[in-house]
Amino acid sequence: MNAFAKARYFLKIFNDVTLVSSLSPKTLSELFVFLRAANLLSIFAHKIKRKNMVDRLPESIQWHVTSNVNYSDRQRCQVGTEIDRINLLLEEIGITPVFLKGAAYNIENAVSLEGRTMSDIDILVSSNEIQKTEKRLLSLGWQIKPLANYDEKYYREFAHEIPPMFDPLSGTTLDIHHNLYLPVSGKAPDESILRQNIVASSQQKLVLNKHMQALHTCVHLYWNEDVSSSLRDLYDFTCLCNDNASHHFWEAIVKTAKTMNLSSLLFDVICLAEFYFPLHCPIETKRQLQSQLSLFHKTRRAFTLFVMKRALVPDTRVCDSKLLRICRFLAYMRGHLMKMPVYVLVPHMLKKLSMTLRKS
Amino acid sequence: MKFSFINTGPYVFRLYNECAAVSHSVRHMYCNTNTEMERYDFDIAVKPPNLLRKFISPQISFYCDKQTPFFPLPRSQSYPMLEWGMNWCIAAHEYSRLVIHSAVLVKNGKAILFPALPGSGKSTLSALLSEMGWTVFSDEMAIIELENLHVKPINRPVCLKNDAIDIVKSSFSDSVFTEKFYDTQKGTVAHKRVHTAASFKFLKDTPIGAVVFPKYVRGKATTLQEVASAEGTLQIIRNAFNYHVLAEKGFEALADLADKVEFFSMDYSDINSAEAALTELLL
Repeated sequence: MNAFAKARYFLKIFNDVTLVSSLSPKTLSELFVFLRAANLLSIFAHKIKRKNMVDRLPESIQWHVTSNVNYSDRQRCQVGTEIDRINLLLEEIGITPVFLKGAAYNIENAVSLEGRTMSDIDILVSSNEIQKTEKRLLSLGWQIKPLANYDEKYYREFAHEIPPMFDPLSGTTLDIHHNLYLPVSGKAPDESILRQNIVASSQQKLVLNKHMQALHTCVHLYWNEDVSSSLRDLYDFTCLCNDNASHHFWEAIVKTAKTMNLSSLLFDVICLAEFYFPLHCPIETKRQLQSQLSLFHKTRRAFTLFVMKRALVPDTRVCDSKLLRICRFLAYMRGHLMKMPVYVLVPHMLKKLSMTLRKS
Repeated sequence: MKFSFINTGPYVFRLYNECAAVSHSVRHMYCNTNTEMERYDFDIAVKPPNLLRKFISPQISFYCDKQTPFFPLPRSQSYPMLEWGMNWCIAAHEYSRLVIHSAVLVKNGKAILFPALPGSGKSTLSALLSEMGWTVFSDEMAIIELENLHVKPINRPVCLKNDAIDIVKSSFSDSVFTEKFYDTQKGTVAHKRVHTAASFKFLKDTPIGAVVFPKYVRGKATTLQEVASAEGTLQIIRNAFNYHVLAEKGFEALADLADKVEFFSMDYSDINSAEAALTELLL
């Protein structure tokens, strides 16, 4: 079995956990390495637990499931506490943050995303509140992660954001955004559209509405140069769509994508999600999105999807091939080209290359 | 790709290695590394971080899956880096059992835990007692089952540092050691094999008989002093890797442990009298 076919086989097992009982210890070992690299192992462990399948695994392997369930449950609890704290300390200065991605799923307690872990908490504040947020957090002992001068410039000038902040007491890292994408790319949506799609959760914390959350996930996984967590993001997207599937949801996501000029992106991500996960997208939605594709997008689409399908396979020795590595490199270059125009990208890449060489 | 397998008992590592010196030490410290295992838990590698560092001021990196938890080190420190990397794999992924920074030594079917911070002499104590009728379950990590509080044997060499290397080597010249690795972050280190595949396979999970906090004090006679169970439990928590993640389960396990065993502090300088005192504890 080639590496790409093997990756698809592993994801077939991820989608249908009842298959684990028929796997050899060697295949299970490889599967767990693969899912750990894709940041999907904790979600898989929860699926196995929900289906009462833990005892069907060899005893020597069961600890992986228990460990991942224990770790993700604890993280969920701690992230919940941190969300409350961050919300409170910003509300005290009149800023109500919007929680994004993993933090939003934590607030909404989605069963399908049980076990999803995260390395930081992402929040969205309006662009004119960024400095005030930074000042408030610094006054409370939060710190900015030490970065090279150039990296700091990257955040402040290109992203119009502040570098990630962390709280040395709790160890929490906070990413503060004012948009879903880098302004320098020229693709960042109008902030007012974002503002129209903010809702209060049942816990009275602000989150994006479901279709905007799904679109944010699309942007994050498809336009990023770092694709190491993109498969997990694709699963997030699948769950967001399947859990909220309704005529209204699909209509809203298509309409918003069109307003934000994200129709082709959404169509590509839907195709990717259907390829790897059981996404149930109405045919009508796909027809609508397809009709909005430009000729330019239609011609290059097959190649982009060919590359992205392979680039999303996590980088492990259990699923490795030259083709996958080339695709990952192409996705890396593509992600950079999406983020910034060539006249900014070339000096940026040269600077990063010289920094890497000096560091090594 | 050429892989070897390191079977430590509860955890199996599949090693991809590009360094001949590492292969030599791995073969000496672990047995049957060429036997393909049915399953493995961690896919690890020891190799240069990039092409440049393969040839110019050679460096080596440790990889778990494809993650690099540490900065690269000089190639001469490849083997210690592999051992520290394996420790990291366990500490960063084991949340089904309580993992404590502790040596574990077993005699007469009972285990003594020796929780202590790095540099407290756990490894020296383990290496010396391993030649005096005690079985080393670990010189670094106690892996404790939450359900029955039994401690698991783990097949790893003992990591000796600085002066302890020559002390142990001169006392037990027949034992198998790696070469010395100089200028590491822990000073000079060398590893001592404490099991063979044949001797390790008979080891079983063992109940804990006592918890002893060891302290080497030059010239001092051996003294064992009882420690209150609350204080002893707090010291274990300070030395635990994953207590904060196990939360209630970890608390309940330690509360059970506090009910079942006694805690002691031990000052010693002479290993023979220390050994006698520890044997008496398990009677």
